[in-house]
Amino acid sequence: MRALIAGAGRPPAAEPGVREDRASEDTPRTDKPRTDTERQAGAAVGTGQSRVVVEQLFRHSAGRIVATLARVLGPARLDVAEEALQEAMLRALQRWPYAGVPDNPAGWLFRVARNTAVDLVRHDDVVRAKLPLLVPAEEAGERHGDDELALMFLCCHPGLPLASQVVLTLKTVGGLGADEIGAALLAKPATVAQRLVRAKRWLRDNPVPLEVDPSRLDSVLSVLYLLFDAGYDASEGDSAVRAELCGEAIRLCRLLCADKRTDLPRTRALLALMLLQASRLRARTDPHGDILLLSDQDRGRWDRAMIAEGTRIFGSACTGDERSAFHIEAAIALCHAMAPDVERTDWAQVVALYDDLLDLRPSPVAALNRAIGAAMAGDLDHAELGRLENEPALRDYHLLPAALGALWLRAGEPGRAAGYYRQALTKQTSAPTRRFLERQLDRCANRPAG
Amino acid sequence: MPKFVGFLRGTEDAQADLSPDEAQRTLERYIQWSDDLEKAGNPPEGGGLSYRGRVVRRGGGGLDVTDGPFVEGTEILGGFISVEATDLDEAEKIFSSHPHLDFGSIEVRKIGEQGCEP
Repeated sequence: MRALIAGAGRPPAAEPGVREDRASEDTPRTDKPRTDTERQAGAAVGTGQSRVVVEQLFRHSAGRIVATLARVLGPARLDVAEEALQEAMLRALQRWPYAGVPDNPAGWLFRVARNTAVDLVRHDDVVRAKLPLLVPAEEAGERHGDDELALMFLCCHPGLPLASQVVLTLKTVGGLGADEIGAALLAKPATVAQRLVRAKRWLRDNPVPLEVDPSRLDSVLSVLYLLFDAGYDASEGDSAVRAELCGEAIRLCRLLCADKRTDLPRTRALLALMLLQASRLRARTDPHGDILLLSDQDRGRWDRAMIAEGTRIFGSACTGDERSAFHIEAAIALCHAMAPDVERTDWAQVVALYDDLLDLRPSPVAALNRAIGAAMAGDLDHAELGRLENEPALRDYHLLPAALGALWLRAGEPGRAAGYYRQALTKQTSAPTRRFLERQLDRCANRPAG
Repeated sequence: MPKFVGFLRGTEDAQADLSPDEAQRTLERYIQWSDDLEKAGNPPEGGGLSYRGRVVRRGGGGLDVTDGPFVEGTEILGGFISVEATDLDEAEKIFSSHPHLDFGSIEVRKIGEQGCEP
């Protein structure tokens, strides 16, 4: 027997949306074979030839399996569903490397998880009788994603604190471990684990139905926004995990857009925003993994297909009267996506949009971004920058000194800029961020005061 | 070309706490390892072993059969993979990149061409 024979079957992760999300993390450092596998998979889907691609299998099956099992087990026994999934993955890891990947790996995982769940609830005859009747949603001909949507709405129940909603969604729907969530949210894994335990205890003690409740849509959208941001903005952590977070947020938002009950203009605006931002993901770092400023990015590496889709979806989000914060942020992202370079960006428009955003949802970070936009438009507001510098809410914002440094460097005051970069360097940062700041400091030293 | 077999040992729960994301990456690395060798013209062969088994011995009063061979918490043989290599050094090099090493050990032995070899 050959070890690791790829069997035949429907690739479980072959939806076009998922492929695209994956492409966003296709950095130059990504190993070639993976990319080749993707191309083969793409071709296989097109030609009807089936070759199993296990890529993304566990990650994407995880949420679906937990969601489907939870339908019968109920929200109070989410941990049983997760334990069953864990067992199924373990068996797959112990078996597939030798026996080959089964024809329908997603179905195999589901069945092992379901049978494990039957063992785990042996004292509950009602549930025991119902579980074996469950089949994976894709085989039952149900609309893909229904269970996952319901699970997402459960995780975002307003009875749970927002921070718990985020970690619970990442864990149960996104299939991330406590360590990975901690790395993404810059929180200690122990804190994450504690939140998860408390959230599950709350679900056990407060019987809530597993259903898509459109009145909770705003919570769900906020969590997806945070999820995306955690992947996009974090200056530390494993870059692969962070790209996954962005991809996962996009995938889940697509599910919301595919359901009549949740497909509202603001849902589409959020999806557009995420696509437009994610289009820059692979251009945001240089080959060493160091962060590149918007002005230093090679715009040729921006993902044009993603920009096109984001633009189209943004258009479809703007057909009614609704103008949410997501609409405005997407419009800002579009200003950048459309500009050939930093100089030819419509900064006046960016500033006007930030004004709208500040009216709708005031925040110090938006105010800082507005000030940056104004400076780029040639209107450096000293008083406003001084105010922001002393803004208590921004004291721990890791990007503040670097942003101020960039502004003063641009304004022809390299000495002043250098002070901010040195200040940023006194804080604990990742090696790539440190190299970035040092490079900026060099720029300050090499530029004469204007 | 001589064949070498690697015996993969690990504790049963070495992979029990992986998140779906980590399990995903582990599986991809296992597959990648085999794919790379196959592309290099050295397709690995192998098989997994059940954790439960019996040990058969001839004792004083006839056959002595025990459940085993494993002892709780110790590394047990989970599977084997064979590859071609010119000598033990090359075989060691091939197995030294196997992702199983994150979870347990690999014992590399040559398959004797004339019975047992030193």
